[in-house]
Amino acid sequence: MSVSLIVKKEFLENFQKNIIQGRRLLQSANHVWADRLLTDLYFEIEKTEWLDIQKKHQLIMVISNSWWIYLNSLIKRDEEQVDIDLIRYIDAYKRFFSFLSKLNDFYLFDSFCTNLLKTFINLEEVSQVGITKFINSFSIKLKEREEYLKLIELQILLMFLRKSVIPSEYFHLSMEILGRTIFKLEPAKRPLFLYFFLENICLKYQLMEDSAEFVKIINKILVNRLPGYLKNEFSNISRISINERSFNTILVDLEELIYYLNDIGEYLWIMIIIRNIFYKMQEYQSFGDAVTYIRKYIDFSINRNRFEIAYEIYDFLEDLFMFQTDLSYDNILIELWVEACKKFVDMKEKRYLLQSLEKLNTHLKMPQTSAQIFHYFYTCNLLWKFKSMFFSLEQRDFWRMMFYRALFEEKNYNLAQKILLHLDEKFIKIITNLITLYNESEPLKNQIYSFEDEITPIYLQDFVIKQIIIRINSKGIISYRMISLDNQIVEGSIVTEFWNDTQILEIFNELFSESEHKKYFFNFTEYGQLFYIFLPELVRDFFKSFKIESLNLVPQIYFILDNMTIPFDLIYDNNFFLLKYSTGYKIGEAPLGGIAFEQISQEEPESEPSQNICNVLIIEAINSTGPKRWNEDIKNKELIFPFPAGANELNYIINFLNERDEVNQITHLIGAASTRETILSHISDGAYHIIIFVGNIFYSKWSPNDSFFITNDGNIITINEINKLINQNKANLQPFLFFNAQIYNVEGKKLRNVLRKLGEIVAQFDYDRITGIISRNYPIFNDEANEIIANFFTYLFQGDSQGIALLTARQQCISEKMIKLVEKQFKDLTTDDGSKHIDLESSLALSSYILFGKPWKKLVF
Amino acid sequence: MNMSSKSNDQLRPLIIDIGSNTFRLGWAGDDFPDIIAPSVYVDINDYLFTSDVIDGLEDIFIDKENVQNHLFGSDALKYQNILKIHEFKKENNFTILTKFFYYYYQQLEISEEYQFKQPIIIITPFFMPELTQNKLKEIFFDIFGFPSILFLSETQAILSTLQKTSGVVLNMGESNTYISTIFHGFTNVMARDIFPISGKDLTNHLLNMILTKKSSETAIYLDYMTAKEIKERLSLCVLDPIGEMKRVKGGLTMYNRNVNLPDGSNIEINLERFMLIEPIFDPTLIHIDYIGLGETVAKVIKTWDRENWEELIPNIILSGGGSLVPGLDKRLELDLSNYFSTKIRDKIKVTAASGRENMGWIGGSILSSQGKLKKGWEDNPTFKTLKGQNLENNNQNPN
Repeated sequence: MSVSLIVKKEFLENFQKNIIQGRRLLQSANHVWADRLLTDLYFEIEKTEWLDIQKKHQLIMVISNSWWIYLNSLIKRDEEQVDIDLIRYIDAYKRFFSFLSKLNDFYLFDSFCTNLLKTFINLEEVSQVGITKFINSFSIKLKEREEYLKLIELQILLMFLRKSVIPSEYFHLSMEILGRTIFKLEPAKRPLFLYFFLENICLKYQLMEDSAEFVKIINKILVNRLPGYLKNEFSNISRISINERSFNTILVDLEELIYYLNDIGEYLWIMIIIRNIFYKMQEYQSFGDAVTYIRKYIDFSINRNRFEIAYEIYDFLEDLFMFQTDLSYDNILIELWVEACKKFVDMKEKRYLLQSLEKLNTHLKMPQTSAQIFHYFYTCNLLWKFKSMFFSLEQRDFWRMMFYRALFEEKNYNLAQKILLHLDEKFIKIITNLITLYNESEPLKNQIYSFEDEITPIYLQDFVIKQIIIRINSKGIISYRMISLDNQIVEGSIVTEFWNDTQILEIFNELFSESEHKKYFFNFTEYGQLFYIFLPELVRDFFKSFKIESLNLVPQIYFILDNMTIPFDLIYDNNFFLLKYSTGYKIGEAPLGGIAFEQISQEEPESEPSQNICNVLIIEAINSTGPKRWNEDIKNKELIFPFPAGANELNYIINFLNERDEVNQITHLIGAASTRETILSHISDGAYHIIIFVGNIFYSKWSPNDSFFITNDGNIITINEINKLINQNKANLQPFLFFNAQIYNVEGKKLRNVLRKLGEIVAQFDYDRITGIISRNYPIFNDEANEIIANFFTYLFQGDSQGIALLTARQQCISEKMIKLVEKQFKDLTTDDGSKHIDLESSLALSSYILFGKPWKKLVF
Repeated sequence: MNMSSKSNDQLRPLIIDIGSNTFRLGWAGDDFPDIIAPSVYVDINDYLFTSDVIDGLEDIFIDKENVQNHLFGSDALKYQNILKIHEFKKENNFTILTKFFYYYYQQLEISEEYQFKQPIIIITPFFMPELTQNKLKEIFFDIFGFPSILFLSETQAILSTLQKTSGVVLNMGESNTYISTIFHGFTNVMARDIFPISGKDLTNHLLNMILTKKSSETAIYLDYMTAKEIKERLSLCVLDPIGEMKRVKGGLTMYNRNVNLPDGSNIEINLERFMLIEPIFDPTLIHIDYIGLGETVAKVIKTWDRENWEELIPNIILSGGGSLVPGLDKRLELDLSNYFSTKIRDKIKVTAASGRENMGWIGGSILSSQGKLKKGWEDNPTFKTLKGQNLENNNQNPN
């Protein structure tokens, strides 16, 4: 579902405003209003359909953090004295838990509640009535969510804290479920299972030093209260004793138990056993052995799609590693979660990927040394790739990834320096010299962690690309098919990174907007470079391997896109691509037969085009006579959709074509001749090689196919109608279409940044029935634009393919411009230094043309 | 200040005005009460929000044996959005009154030797029941052991503030509105009335008007306390409400005010600002079958003989927090003129003195400093024997 940026921005601004207000209310102890506001905000998030799961989760976290920050602010520590406003504290906690219980995701409720419970356990003395009420109310939620394992744990914990059993509903339920599980096991394994289960509670909540003693105590408390069916099983626990010698034998039993529990679907219990094995192994062998041992269960559980277990193992490992580290930047913890993310990404497991990404983010602290900075940005680049698969990416993600690619992959210091300004301010202080940073991290490139599928295929080394088709579908999957000079074909898809152009498009739109307050300060060339490094590494490698073997052979690139994105012509590596390659686009799905390179037709010798063979139809819809509206200021009627540049354009093109020998006949439907009837009849029955449209197009956001223009008799013609008539035309001349248009929306508002809209409008055309379409992505009508049009048609008439014709037209325009610029520079040159940088950034006209259609296609006569 | 003057100072009578909205306590002879506190309390276990999601937090966090269960006045109001606010006057809760008084009495910082040795003056509305008086005596005599009590009529106190011996006092409080008259220092049991609409009814009326406002696009959430605040800040009284209402509906924006609600949202109110006070002139607006305030006041005045009216009508005094609405005096004058003949109509004068919300207390203080409160004192029969020991023995800490 696509939602406009304005709606999104408005939503986020509102959200921020409400959060600030909510926090203010909390600080002023206005819990009633704060609670209402924050809860409403949550429901607002849930019902907003265009927010993806990750964004929703993030926003919900902001709300829950607001409560959490407030709760912590109520604890005032003064030297050794702790002062808490208990009335506010208790009420805030109650409301916070009530809020958490409303969330779909139980994870937050569970973890906050468990943490609070742990603090109660650590109190010297805790009210028995209070803790009983607390655990039992927690148990209600656990029962609702069918978290039975935790329910049983808590009931046993309660027994331990009270040193007695309260025969409550939850106690009975716990025993029943425990019994149900135990009776699924073979009798010999039951005591071991029970022993480990009880011991696990002691370890998890750190209740006693001696966990064996804990098991005994619980057994004693339980003995008279146990239901009959469990008595025998519990009495056998006392026979179990684990020590260094017996452990290896028991380990075999435990491993069997793990596999067995997995097989019977009771896999949730597995983590208990894994955790206990770890502690035992750590005690009898070493920490390292224990870690290595339990790591093998990660793949075990991932392969069996038991993602909960895999995540819990990572979580458990994190706890273990945390103990061994200070709170600074820690490679081990980061790599642990990168590994987790990678596993979940590969399995396309969103929920745990999201949680792992969150964990990864918390560990991505501010790096200090060069090695850490490199590690940090290397990880951020991976993070971008992981997130690109399922979640929306943010500015922060974008700039961190861009910085890595600019500096460490492309060694573009200038650009990296500019990107640095968009990173967290702290980085500006830490990163003072990019060259030193690069040099220091160069040797680390081979040492840093990596994944097998990230390595670029070697075949590209000797592969000189002649033609390439790149397809980006609406899901963001990038696929490619290439043909080399020696006619080898390589094709595939990029699996590690998906297309996400939100941020780069935002910069693009700003670059060409007329807004005075600009957020970004990239010039045209830098923007091209940005776009280049934004591409996945593999695609960049393709472009690097383009070689221009001779001036006669220009590599051709054909982009098939579901939605129009930034014109790839703008990509800049060392020169403008648009100056080197012939590029064409197709919006929408590729035809069933696929896209042929048309290598054969390209190679066929073609006769020189004979003269006077080309018929041109020019359609005018610049609305220069109407519709009109009354203007009170000038006391007269004025045009609603004026297009003065269109009239000039029209004159220019008619004059130009009139003088061309190749043109046999020009039919211009201008002024009174431009009526619906005549236009439609000419398109359906005429035989035209070129159809030029100059006028205003009204874009329909509901059905872009049915975008229309207003004819001079006040009727409308939709683009869809034109498309249909071209398809039905018996002459089947495969006309070339040229749209010289201003775009309005149907409410009559002139649109800027019409790139995607144009793409949507032209997506409907059948590119086997037409040669191609050229249109503008922003309306610039000046001499330069005219020159490009004239040059383009000249080359097209000469028999060049449309891609090459456009490319050469641009090149010619640029070179002429360059000459003028250089001449001007020389005139202005007064200093002795003599060298001046000549920038082409202002030449918007050059990049304002887009070719839709196969670049290698020629005009068919 | 030497010791003797300090002792004199601390043995001066204390004046207490226990309003249902505000409690005032201070020394007789002072210009202003030392303590003005909202007449509210909270029970620290009585939360507004009850949740079954997580239970037991109070038991775990609060050591109930060593903690005060109640908070009073402004301390209580700090938690108005967390705990339930109780109004002891409305609840007739004398146990809380005792604790409340003790809490604020301590704030007067009276040295230990003079504690509970001051004569007490209690400002009393005319309708204070015998039972209440007895209860108060029980508290101040038996529990605290003060030496003597004087129940001072509020009407008398108010008139004395303005140095008048005749007049009509219209006291508009949070839960009571009453009208009483004094003529040359004499009262008349017939010439007084309790008007059935008071501050809280007007707040509820405002709340209803805003919540049912048809023009609002989104659902508005508003609580009583916020409505009360809006009432106190923005209410006004106009002479021609029907006409003004028509003008507002016709596009007059003079009355438009944007109110920022705590959640950051806004509501615009206009005619609600003056319509909220209208029920006192037309009680049927809030479905109360009674005559309007003007007519009620006129009726009370007309209980006196005709020749006395001329002396009463120029002395209609507004008092109490509910009378603070700007323009109320002029509107009441206009309303009253409908009930008197043209001959005396011009003499009608409603006085709305500044500081009228504390007028009762101040009047008591003036009367006391003028030495006019010699009569009517009741002595504590056990004072000489007790000397405050009673409190030490039984109520060392009434909390």
